[in-house]
Amino acid sequence: MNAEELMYCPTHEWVSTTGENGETIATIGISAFAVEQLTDLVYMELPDVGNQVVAGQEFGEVESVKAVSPMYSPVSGEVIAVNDELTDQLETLNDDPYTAGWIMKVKLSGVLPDNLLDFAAYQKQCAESS
Amino acid sequence: MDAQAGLTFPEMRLILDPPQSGSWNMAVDEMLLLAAQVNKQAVLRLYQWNPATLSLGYFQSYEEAQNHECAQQVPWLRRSTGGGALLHDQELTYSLIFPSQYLASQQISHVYDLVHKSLIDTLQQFDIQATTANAKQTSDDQQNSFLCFQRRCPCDVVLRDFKIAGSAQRRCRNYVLQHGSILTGQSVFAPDLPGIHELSNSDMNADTLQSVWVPNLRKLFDTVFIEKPLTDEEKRATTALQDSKFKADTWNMKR
Repeated sequence: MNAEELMYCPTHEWVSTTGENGETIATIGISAFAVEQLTDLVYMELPDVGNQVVAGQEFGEVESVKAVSPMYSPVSGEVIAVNDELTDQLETLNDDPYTAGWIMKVKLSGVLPDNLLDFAAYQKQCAESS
Repeated sequence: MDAQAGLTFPEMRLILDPPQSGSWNMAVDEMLLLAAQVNKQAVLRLYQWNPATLSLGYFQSYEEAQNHECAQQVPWLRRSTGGGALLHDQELTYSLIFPSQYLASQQISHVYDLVHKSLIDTLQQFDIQATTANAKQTSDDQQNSFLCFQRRCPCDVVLRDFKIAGSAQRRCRNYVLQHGSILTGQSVFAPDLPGIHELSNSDMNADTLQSVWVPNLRKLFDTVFIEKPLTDEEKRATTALQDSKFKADTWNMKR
């Protein structure tokens, strides 16, 4: 996926949506900036398929450099897929955070929240925080 | 960038606690982290452990602990912070709770480095020459050791090639809990890990280190310490967290 076409949470998760059979499916991951800031990722805990996630609430956790950090869901809905291969191959997040590094797919229960940032706004936030 | 820039506080709460159980200590740190979301207060707490306790890193397996000799001899629990297992016995522990917007850099190791540099400077006042670790000299086996003090990362503090201090974090939306252990002496439960006392042939102990380090930490954070023990309400909240989380199998055996 093209990073410039994604939407972003202020907490560094990205989201892309597609329509499938009348449903909106969101694919979610964490940004290259977040991966760079976290440095060496060693563990990741993902939600189970079937879990409900809520926009702005935690859906999983990562550990890097002995720090445990939450990941926040950009959307609300039901988890319909998780990237199980990722937990054993976290280097994928460094190599390809926007395609092979997807984390979960969520069937939206509503519309996209209006607090998501486009690429330019997210880049501006990253520049201000680094 | 000035390494110290961005981690100064006009005022910090200082808590100097007596030795307490592991579940109490972890519950206090979590209570303070949760409270910080509301009261917006930066906190420095220094404490010790009684009885000696083994703490697992957040992502470590409970079964791994069962295979380790330490877990047969002392109480154990799971921390909310990352890293490897720690045998808390002859040590001084610090916890630092601060808003993440105070960070000049979001880099995690930035705050480890700041606190560890202050520790190294403090030990120099005792003519003890500690340094940060050279992680490149360590093997994969060491990096994956069960015990944190047998691992190395570049920000760890070492003395005569033995790790004597390391830190870990739990990050929430707006606040960070960083805590770290300084191995002041060797534990009978982990005889392979000498502390500052043995490595420097000095009479170093946790109380001595604390008395000299606290003023140096005040300078590091360019702050005014307001010493304030836990209130009765905070003790009740801590007890509730202790019972529901750090004494509970659902937490300690969650993986």
